[in-house]
Order: sequence, then C-alpha cells, then structure tokens
Amino acid sequence: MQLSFKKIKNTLVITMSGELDQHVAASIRGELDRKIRTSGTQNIIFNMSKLKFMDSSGLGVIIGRYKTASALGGKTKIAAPSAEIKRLIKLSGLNKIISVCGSVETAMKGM
Amino acid sequence: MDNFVKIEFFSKGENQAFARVCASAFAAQLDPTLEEISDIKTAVSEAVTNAIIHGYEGGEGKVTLSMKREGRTLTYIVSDKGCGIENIEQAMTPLYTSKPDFERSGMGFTVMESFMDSLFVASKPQSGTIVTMTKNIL
Repeated sequence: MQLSFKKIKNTLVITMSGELDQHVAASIRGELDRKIRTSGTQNIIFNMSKLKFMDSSGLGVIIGRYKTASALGGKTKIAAPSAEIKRLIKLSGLNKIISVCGSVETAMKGM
Repeated sequence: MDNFVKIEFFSKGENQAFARVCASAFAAQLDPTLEEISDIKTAVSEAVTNAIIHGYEGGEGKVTLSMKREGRTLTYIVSDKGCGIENIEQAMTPLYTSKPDFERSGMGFTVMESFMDSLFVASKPQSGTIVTMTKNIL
C-alpha cells in the first residue's frame, strides 16, 4: 500500500495505491491520523482510483477518518472507487454518510 | 470432487494477501469473471482476517485454507484452532464487532454471505472456527 497526500485549499486528498486489508489498515492508521492533524485541513477526499483491492477492514479505516474529519467540522468523500469496491461500500451503507464521486474533481465540488 | 488444494500458514497479517492470491489462482481453472474473482478474494480475505485477529487474537497459530472444485462449484474452507465464537448468531449480525477499538466495521460475515453463494460457520469456544463458503461460477 502506498499513500500520497495533496492539499487543495481546505481539503486533504489521500491517494491510496495497492491493496487495503486488515494487515495494511493496522499500519496506515497512524500515518493517516498524523497527516490529517498536521495538514491544517478540515475535509478529506479518499482517492481510490489506484486502489486495487479493499475488504471490510478498509471500511473501518474510512469510518475512523470520517469521525476525525467530522470532529474538525469537515466533510469526507470517496472518489473513483472500482466497481468492486463500490459494491462493498454500498453493501455496508457507508455511501449513506459519505459521498461517493466519480473523480477527485467532482468530489472537490462543495468542499 | 474434481480438484482439491489445502494450504496452511501462520496467523500473520502478511499472509492475508497470500491467501487471496491462492484463492483466486484456484478459481482461475473455471475461467471466472473479474467480478467473481473479486467476490472470492474479498470473502476469503474476510475469513482469514477473522481467523487471525479474532481466532488467535493477534497471537500465534495456524490457519488452514482448503479449496475444492466440484463441477462449476468452488468451496473454500478457512479454519483455525483459536478461541472460537461464543455466539455465532451475534457475530454474524451486520455491524456487530467484538473489537470496536480496532476500528472493525463488523461487516466481515455480511460480506462473505453477500459475495458468496453459501456460508456456513461452525465454531466451538476454545477449540476453533471453520468457515465454509461456496461460489458457483457461471
């Protein structure tokens, strides 16, 4: 799993590459939280365009960061997930609290 | 039975990806769609994760993945000899997690049930858990 970060105005865009399972989730939580705390941004966009695999452990990672952003008064969105990951998101009902957009550009609207 | 493979590995997190690769490689003999492969990988990943973090609670143990093919039906059996599940019905309830502090979504069994064609869970406290899942490849 590789993470890259880009700050756009008040939003931190987190691009995830590779596979996100429980093993990876345990190792990236700390890095994500540190980056969110130090970035000075309120909103988060998870760019999943390069994420090849995610299981329910990934949902836990997203929900955890959603709580962090919400506590800061910010919004969380998901951009460009694969069809398979989108199915997982819908199954969990996560899409009812976090917007799922086709691209980062679309997700940036309203941020 | 037309084919059978059994692998055993330590309950280490890095073996989750290994188990997924094995599960999808075994399915490849039936020329599945990308969606079917994704369903199998995700379901097996959930079962192996449960064995590692719930069965052995992050400690040492062995996880077994058995894979069978009968016609167009694939069976995946993930078993551990860990602490077992006290209440299977509760464990299978969507969003239920016994480890809320670990940011578990509580969706593992729901994902297995939704992405596979059948799911059966057998468990005995202090003896272990056996998760059996089948997938019909169209």
